[in-house]
Amino acid sequence: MSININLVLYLTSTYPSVQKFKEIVEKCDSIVDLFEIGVPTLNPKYDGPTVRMTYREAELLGVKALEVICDLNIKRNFIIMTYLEDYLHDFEHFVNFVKSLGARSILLPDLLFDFYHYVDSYVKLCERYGMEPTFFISSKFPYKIVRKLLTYSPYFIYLGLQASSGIKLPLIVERNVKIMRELIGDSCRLYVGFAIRDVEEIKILRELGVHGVVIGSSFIKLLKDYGLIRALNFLKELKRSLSDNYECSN
Amino acid sequence: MIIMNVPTRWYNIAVDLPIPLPPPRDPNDNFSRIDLLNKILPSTLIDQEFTAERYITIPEVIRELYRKIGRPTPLLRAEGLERKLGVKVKIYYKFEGALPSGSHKLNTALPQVYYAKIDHANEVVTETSAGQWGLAVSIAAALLNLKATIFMTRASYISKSHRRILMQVLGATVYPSPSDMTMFGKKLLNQDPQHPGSLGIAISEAIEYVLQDSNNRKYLPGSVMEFALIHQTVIGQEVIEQLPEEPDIAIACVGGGSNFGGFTYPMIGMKLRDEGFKKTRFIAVESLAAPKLTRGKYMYDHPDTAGTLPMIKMYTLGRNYVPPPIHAAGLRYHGAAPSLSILVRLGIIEARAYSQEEVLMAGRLFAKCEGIIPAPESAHAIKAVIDEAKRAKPGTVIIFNLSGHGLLDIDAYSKVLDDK
Repeated sequence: MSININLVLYLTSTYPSVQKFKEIVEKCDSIVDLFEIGVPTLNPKYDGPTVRMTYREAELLGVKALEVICDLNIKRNFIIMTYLEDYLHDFEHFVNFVKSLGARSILLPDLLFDFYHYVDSYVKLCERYGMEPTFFISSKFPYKIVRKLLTYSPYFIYLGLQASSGIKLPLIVERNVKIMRELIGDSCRLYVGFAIRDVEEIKILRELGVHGVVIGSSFIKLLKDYGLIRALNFLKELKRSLSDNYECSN
Repeated sequence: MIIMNVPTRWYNIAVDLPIPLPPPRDPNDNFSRIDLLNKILPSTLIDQEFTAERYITIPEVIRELYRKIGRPTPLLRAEGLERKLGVKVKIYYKFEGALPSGSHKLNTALPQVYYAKIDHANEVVTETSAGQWGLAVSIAAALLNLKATIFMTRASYISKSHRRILMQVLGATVYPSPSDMTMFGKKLLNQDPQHPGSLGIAISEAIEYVLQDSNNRKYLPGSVMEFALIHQTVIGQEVIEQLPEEPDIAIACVGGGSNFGGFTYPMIGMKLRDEGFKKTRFIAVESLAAPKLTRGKYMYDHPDTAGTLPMIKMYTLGRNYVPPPIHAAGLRYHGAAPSLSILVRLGIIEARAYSQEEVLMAGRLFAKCEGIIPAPESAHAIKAVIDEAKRAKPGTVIIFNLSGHGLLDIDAYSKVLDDK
């Protein structure tokens, strides 16, 4: 059975500048299947050094940085990634705002770890504003809770393959993905991310039956060190590797 | 006689917890301490720290070593103590002091040294306070033919000279911490030449020393990291096989959490999965000198004093907390393992703290009743056992982990005699 695997690109809003961010989104819109747009924060909890750098160097911070999305005509789906801690004081207002931008979901990496009691409220707010919930989990995640998340019919579950974004540790990723894939079954899409750097890794993840791969730090590093063209070529190569006939043509 | 086998797997409670374990975090600067783990820890240990598996297969070579050192350890009944207290309760104890290192620490020292060797390290480096962890690493390194370097808290280096000498007999190099082997140690010695040291400081020195030659050296942590607790679950799995009846109360002492976790997690896991131990209460006993579970804050903090390691979410007294020198040096630590902290926070584990004096009196009472002199750390559990037994209903079953013997803790018990 062939599974349609989505390529997801993580970008920090207004990094490296408002104009450049808009240009990157426009250029990538025809390559990727989904954008995950991060909100620059002063309190990056689980992000690795590359994403933290983008928060520091982004032109705008917080909600201001998201307002620029209004000017964009993004053809692909996109979700917003931010930490619940930053918006807990008026989360409903934030959800309403994100919905007005056209986002399909809000991903809150700290929801299940620091605000587990808030899950039901989060799901209800998503439903109220016509969005789907998404959940971020780590590799050592309680099995019972993974099963419980499925009852919320999420857009997808995002498994962080590493302890932090962009940091590669010597983990047996295949084993961890396999366990989570078995727990989730066919009732929900499993997206994976953190420190995915090349086509070979994507091939393995494809074999394991994931539904989406998220690219972030590796794209940002290429963008910063070599410019947009090199980063776009990298993205195109990854996209090709996700197509069914990639093995034949290579 | 029942001949038991050594467990074939370790247990990872993270996948059975009622809420998820918060991931480690880096402070918001340009440097990733999570990435640093690549340089300091054996790779398999890093993998085990983040594994999605409920059970991890124990390599056959480690199972052989477990047999060699005397696993399974005995589960005994403290009938003498029961009689002395005049209570109609049954008290059982798992005796980890029967191991060659005199404590449970060898259960994780062996796999840690083994995994360092697989990574082609030729030297393992660690910290120790009471000397139990240092001695365990020294034994494991001797058995697996690696060099061991130990940073021992200065207070213990002086007061626990017996264990220090044994480490040296086994071929280990032992430095008093703070030492002049590291920049961090030199800085502290400049501030206070008589600095007593702490476990947090010794960890920082051991890590800095590894980073001086990270191709050949690997750092081995004695507790707090989840993989250390995972390895210790051989204790609790054996207990489940050995126990004639389910206990009403299970008790163990806490320094960083490896003893407590190793002893109780297989039982707590069954309770969380509704497979048994429904009625069992679990009590973690700490020292009043380092009361993180009873008086600490649940927050992100570094496990080491210098802040070289990633932050973990745990009950902590703050990484700069220097506990007063006490005889139960293994409990002189500012934080507790994240999984243990969560279980305390959720009320699944109860926590209490005792003073040194009452604990050593309890240890002496146990020694006179059972003929085993307990380590001062383990005497904390005994104190709680006595308190619980005195107020328990007849028929209550109590089990505790006697994590080590106290034959090398002469200084502690001479103090009891002096005070009398």
